[in-house]
Amino acid sequence: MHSLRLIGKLTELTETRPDWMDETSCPVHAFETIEGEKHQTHLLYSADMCQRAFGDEEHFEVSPLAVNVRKLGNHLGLAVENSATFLEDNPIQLSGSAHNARRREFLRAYAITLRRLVPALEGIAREHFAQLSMKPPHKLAQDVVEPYIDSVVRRAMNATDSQLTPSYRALTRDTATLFEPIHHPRRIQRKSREIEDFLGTARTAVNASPDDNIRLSYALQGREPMVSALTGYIKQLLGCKEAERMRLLASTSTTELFRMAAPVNYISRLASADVQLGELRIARGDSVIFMLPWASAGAAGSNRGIAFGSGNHSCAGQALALAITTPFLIVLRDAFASIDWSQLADVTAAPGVFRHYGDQSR
Amino acid sequence: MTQTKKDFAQFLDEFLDDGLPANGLDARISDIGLDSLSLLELIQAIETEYEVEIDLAEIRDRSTLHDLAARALA
Repeated sequence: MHSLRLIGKLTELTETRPDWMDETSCPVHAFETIEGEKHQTHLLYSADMCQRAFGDEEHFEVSPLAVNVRKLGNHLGLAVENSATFLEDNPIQLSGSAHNARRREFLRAYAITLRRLVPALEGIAREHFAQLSMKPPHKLAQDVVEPYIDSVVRRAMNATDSQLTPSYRALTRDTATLFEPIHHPRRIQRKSREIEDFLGTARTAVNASPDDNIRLSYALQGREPMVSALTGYIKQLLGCKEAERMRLLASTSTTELFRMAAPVNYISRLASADVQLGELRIARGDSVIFMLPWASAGAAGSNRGIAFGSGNHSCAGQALALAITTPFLIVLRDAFASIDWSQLADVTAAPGVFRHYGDQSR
Repeated sequence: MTQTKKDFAQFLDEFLDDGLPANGLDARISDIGLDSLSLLELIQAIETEYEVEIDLAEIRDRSTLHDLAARALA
């Protein structure tokens, strides 16, 4: 069965991917095809092929995540309206002029958020690491990374911790379930409930913003990749020898961090017409999955980063992500030696669109 | 078969349009003629009936109905 083969392959790849994708992580082949009954799914590992496909909107359209969620909901009688609405109203699901207009709205909102956040970020980072210096961390993601990111995300949403904590915590768990090529019935229904609960709380608790979708995007699209990228980086730091650790601490830029610890394992497109991509022949109706961490490893040494995608649908939150990461890295560099890392439990990655972290089980 | 696996086999036989295949729980999931949507429907039904959570990543192309039973009855 095609879907099982696809899930199996994606699981195998994401379970075994290195935390830090360097040149040795490049796969031998530029692509791989999973045969299906009617259509194929092509996994692209080559940065060149990914860039070309990202830029070719004539032949590749966004994958119908929202359509699939609604179809699943209708077929199985699931209450998935909130998940479907979030996806439908998001730039990742729009095309053409509708996409351009909506993306501009997101970018405008993110720019306003960025201006508001930047003066506060270093202070948030310093307070966070001061706490860690006093109280040794036990869990890498939950103790070292999440508190910083959650403080930032809540500020982006214009909310306080006490106003949002229960619904926010539920909302931000397992967000990748929205973006999988095959949606799990229980999880997508649960996510819909969590979105509803969160919005119910947010509308009464926070400064009113008419755009629920943008407010949700920080939590549903930004938080998990941010946490996983920073977790991957720190895990790499803790796993290497002292000299290499000092070099990484001193010299890793934010863009390099996202390239090496690429937090989004894969995103997909649907071929809207027959197309030749290098040696790969893609038929109309085939799916293409961009294996971003592997493509990123292959783009090492070039300026053509792929961790945030490329083309018109590249990550709208990239500037935010980089701006949030920079103070974290700067303060971490200063504070690293003063933190007792000896009590950390092992971090195991788990499969998924977004790279999972910590000791949460799926 | 244990009583509980027998129950699971009966559950599947009633759920599947064509009933349980001739080789019973030895059959691979990929060979019982389900499309993706029907597979998800089956997963949902098992989760509801047996009050378990099944991760799609646990099910592989070579997984059998015995493997599914093991998850349901774990």
